[in-house]
Amino acid sequence: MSGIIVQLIISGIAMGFIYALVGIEYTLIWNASGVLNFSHDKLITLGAYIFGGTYILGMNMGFIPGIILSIITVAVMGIIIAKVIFIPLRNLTMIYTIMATVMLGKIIVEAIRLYWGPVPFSVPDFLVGTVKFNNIVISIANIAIIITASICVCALQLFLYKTKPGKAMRCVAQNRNASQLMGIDVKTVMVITIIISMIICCLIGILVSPLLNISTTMSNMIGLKGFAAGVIGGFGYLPGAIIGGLVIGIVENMASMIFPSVYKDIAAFVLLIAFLLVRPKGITGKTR
Amino acid sequence: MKKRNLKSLMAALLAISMLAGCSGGGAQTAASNADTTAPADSGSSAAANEGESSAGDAGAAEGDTILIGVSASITGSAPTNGMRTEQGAQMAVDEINAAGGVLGKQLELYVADDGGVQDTGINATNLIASQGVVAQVGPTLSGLALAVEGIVSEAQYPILVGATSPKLVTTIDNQWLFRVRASDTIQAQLAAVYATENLGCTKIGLFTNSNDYGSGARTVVEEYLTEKGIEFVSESHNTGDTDMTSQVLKLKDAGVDCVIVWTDDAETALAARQFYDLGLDVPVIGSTSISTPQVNELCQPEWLDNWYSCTDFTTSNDSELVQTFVKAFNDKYGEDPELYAVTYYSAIYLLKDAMERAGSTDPSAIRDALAETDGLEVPIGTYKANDMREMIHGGTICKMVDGKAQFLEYVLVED
Repeated sequence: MSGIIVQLIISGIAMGFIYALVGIEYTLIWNASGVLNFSHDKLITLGAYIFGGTYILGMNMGFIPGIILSIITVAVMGIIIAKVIFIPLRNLTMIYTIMATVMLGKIIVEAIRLYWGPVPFSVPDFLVGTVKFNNIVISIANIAIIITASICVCALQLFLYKTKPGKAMRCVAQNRNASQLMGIDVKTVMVITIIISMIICCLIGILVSPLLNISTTMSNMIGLKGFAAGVIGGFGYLPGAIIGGLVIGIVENMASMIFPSVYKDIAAFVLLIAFLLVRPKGITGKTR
Repeated sequence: MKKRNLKSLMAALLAISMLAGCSGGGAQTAASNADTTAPADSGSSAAANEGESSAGDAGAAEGDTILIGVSASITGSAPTNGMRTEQGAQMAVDEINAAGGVLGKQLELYVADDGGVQDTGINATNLIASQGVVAQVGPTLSGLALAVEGIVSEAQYPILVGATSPKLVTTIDNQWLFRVRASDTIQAQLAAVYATENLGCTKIGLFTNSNDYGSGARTVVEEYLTEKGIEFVSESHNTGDTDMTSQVLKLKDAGVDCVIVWTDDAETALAARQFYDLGLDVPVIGSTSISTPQVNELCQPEWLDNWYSCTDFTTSNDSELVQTFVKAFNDKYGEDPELYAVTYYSAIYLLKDAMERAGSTDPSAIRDALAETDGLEVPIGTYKANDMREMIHGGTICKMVDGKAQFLEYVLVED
């Protein structure tokens, strides 16, 4: 029995890191542009398709060059999306920008269906296999998720606190008008932010592809739970997204020990609503 | 000020996430609005394929062509199914037309996209009904079939559905509705019988989707096992679930010696992977999903070493009829056919047979002829209509070998 609990905690941590990355990825855009990117889960799907569909299965590349090229591709797409959608929309009322990003998501999904076809697929031999300790089994995919996500989070923190563009991003997040007055090029900062966010989306897509198979609906649930992670941790605060993600990942897995497993998702959303009602600032109590 | 903004923002977000939540759960309500333009497009392109676009001509039945409606999930959460539906039906039509058509007339399809959701599905069937078709094939999803059966009985033409929910005969009795695949109850019974009698298992694990499809089968299997006094453990999951660790571990902990998995394509592939990773090493009997090429390709062969499948159809069935069909489909589309393709391919031939026996394209004459179908051999099996207008009464058991379904036997079930 204790084996089960340890096992559930480990897979909870792995999924938690995915939710945390999702939380970070849209928090970044929210901070930089005040636009809530509701197409973020579709960008994750897009990343997985570019990696699996084009570079690995389409061009038969190795996994490492495939990952690097995918990152470069989404970075270029990030520039386009930033210039065409996020920058023009930044001063509009929230509801318009939300609708625009929801529609962007629909466009991406249907474009994926047209370009790569509707048949789901998987990337053979990518992060398959397990590691066994006594009676505990951990899949390589989960280990890769935990390691990559930790590296991402650390690198992002270093970037935000130690480099000039990172500091500019934090300034813009704090007060867009003031940073403009201080001579920070807000549009450039927004482009950088969206590129970083797209790269994180792409990495999430690549990391979950061995867990979920690559399909147009692969990221719907993680997109929602990543959003919940942001709220539970403290909306707009990066370390909060990590805490929120881990809390959701572990709580939903532990809940399936007590309640029937079908209600696993409900645990995450009950937690979300509870936090919105009781503590809208989240666990960390910080919003930016 | 800032705090108040945040609160209203949160409220708005919550509302939106609820909306998105609905769409995540398989029923893409939000998506359907965007999809409603699609039916017209796909319909007209299908008509264009035929060279003549007499779609829209209400008197199509009296003209040179016989118009048949197709409701296929071309967009939405299961677009593969729609593509195969269209391909299967189109291939049958092309073959029939090349051989001289039916009653001296050419067949023509009018394809509408049902989006895999009920509101779009209703629009699609309304659109088909307005074209003056003599009959309709599809939709395949049981929820959609139940949603549109009323439209069809009002428009008074026969509809052949690949939907398998028992509800299609237990909750309604529609004279125009024919079922061209085996009911879930038959398939689930097959699974239970095979697990207990052929594999000799004594403690069965059930791993089912919480939707209509999975829970319907679960009821059937649980009833059967209770009646036979065989122990079982039930675990379920939702459509779209990605992490099944806790269910798998609970089954493993309970010491089951066989698992019956009844769920949709994506979840079947995930279950195969997670059973393997977590070392749940017992025979597994799956629903039809596991024997379809699109699910096989999602799995590494070793995950499926001990899997069986209860299905309607397998390309490895060595009967001549099936092999001819498989070869023709491969020549035309470069891929192996699967369930949806064979279902609607066979359904079009059933319509042809009925029209020829009726000697007319009058919908009610076709319906009467359909109801008298007895022993029409098609790739999916032998069509024989029963009192509830069900055409198929058996199923195929396959064993997975090297990640591919191998035909074991075709079993007829009393119903």
